[in-house]
Amino acid sequence: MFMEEKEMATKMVVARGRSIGYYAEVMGPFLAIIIFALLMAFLAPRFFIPQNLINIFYSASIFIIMAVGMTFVITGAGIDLSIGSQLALSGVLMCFICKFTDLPPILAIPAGLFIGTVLGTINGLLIVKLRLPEFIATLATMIGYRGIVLILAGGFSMYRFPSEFIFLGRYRLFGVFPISIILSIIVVIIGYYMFRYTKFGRYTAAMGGNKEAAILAGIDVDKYKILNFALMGFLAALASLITIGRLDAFHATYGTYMEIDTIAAVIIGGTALYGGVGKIWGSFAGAVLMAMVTNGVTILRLPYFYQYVAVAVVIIISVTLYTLRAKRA
Amino acid sequence: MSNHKPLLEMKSIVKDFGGLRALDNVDLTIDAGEILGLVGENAAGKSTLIKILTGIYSKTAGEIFWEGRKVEINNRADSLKLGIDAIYQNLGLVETLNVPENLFLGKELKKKILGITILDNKKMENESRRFIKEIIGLDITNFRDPIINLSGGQRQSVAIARAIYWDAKLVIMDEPTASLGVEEVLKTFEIIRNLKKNNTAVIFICHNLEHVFEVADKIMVLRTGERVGFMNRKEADKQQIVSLMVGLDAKTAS
Repeated sequence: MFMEEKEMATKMVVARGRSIGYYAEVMGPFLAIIIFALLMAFLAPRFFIPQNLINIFYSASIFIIMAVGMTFVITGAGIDLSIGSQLALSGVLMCFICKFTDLPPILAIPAGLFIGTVLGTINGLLIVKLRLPEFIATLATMIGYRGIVLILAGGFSMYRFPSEFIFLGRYRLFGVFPISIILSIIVVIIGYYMFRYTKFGRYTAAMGGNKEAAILAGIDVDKYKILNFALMGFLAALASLITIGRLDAFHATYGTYMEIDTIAAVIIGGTALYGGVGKIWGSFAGAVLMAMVTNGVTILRLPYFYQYVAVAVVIIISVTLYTLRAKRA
Repeated sequence: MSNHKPLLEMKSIVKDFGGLRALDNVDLTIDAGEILGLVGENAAGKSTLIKILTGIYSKTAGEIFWEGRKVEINNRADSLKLGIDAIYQNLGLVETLNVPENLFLGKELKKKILGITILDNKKMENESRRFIKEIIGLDITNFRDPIINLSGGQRQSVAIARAIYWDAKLVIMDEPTASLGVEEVLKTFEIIRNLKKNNTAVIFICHNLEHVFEVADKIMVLRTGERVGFMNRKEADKQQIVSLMVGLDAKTAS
């Protein structure tokens, strides 16, 4: 039964033809952005104020970075539920280094990225060495990492960090354009090239598509599994830097529920939930669409909780469209 | 005294799974350019023997000689290095990757741009297009499609192409004709004969004895983990093979 589901899910995202349908499938998440924008043009023209559009991308930049990492993890037939906790734990440790050590604040950045990579690697090792199911391993670390954050932060927030520590999340090019947006697009471009032009990307897709075949081709799937989670940890730490910089503050609740939004962005973007097919630009579009929906709820002055319903609707529509396309293929 | 060295000699191979003996002192010999049909009922030990040869299982006891030299095959990389490739029942292909990605999986062609090594996707695509058409004689138009969209025969050809492209000296085919139509089966036979012409040895595992007799030079029969028959195809008849497979003498079986 699982194999049937996997085959169907795979067909959903690999079904191709020579027709308009193929392009509609590839461009699907981007079309969804256009359709949603048109809807907002009708409902709330204020949506298109340049500052609001910048705000959408500013919010999206954190999810875009996380979604790139999650695209690799899911393409490799994995899942990482602990990314929000990784963001918080690498964040609190960075803030500690910045606030409570004599080290130059700028050094907290590479230290934090290293810590994030280690946290991701721990996930990978739990899965590969202890043979824990990914869902269970990352559920455990989601709880465990968050627990450590709460112990360390002790329920207090930290504010006012040195500018050289928070510049990635804080500064705006020409005083207008947040550099975190540029950073997130750079991450997408690098992620795309890694996916398309490196062994890392190719073997991730291979082990997600057919692990046994990948092993038979001589691929060290355990190594690439660990690398996937390490990359996810690195990117969670990078997203943490932007989150902290954006508000010039850290709180122990940072990153809560972020795994849900990130996984949703990746699935909306067309990556196969059962692995084997990943779409980096699709994940980018999925993250932007999620940010647009959240922003739209605010612009329409709907209660905050409506955004959960709106995101659920977007996910259901996206996956339904893929399913219909697969049935026709 | 002859200096002839077989391509592969497996001597007294034993494989135990806990208290269960899956292979009991099995010998197998094959020369370059020879086609060996390996037959037996389910659980006869065929897959276990092949998995030892391809490094997926480690043997409990016995010796393996490759071109006269004693070798240890501890993993898949070891067998690939020797020139042993296998096409499995499920083809061993990644359904979500396209033809070139599958053909070159694990051995990708690379190029350098600004000192950075990246995969040379264009070259791999051109090379697979040429190879599949010229050598396999297959015209696949949708090279960039995931192979889940190809027919069973086309996928089979891609799997075989992968083994041939990398100059395997021994190709193991596990039920290669099981899910194919008549034309595709004939095409597979042609490819196997071409392998023989190129001095590539083939171990052909198949339940269909008609197919085994069509291409094999020699036939080896396994039953409950033991080798119970090894003969030239010309000296064998189907009834005899069936009898060996099921453990009855020829008269009783008939």
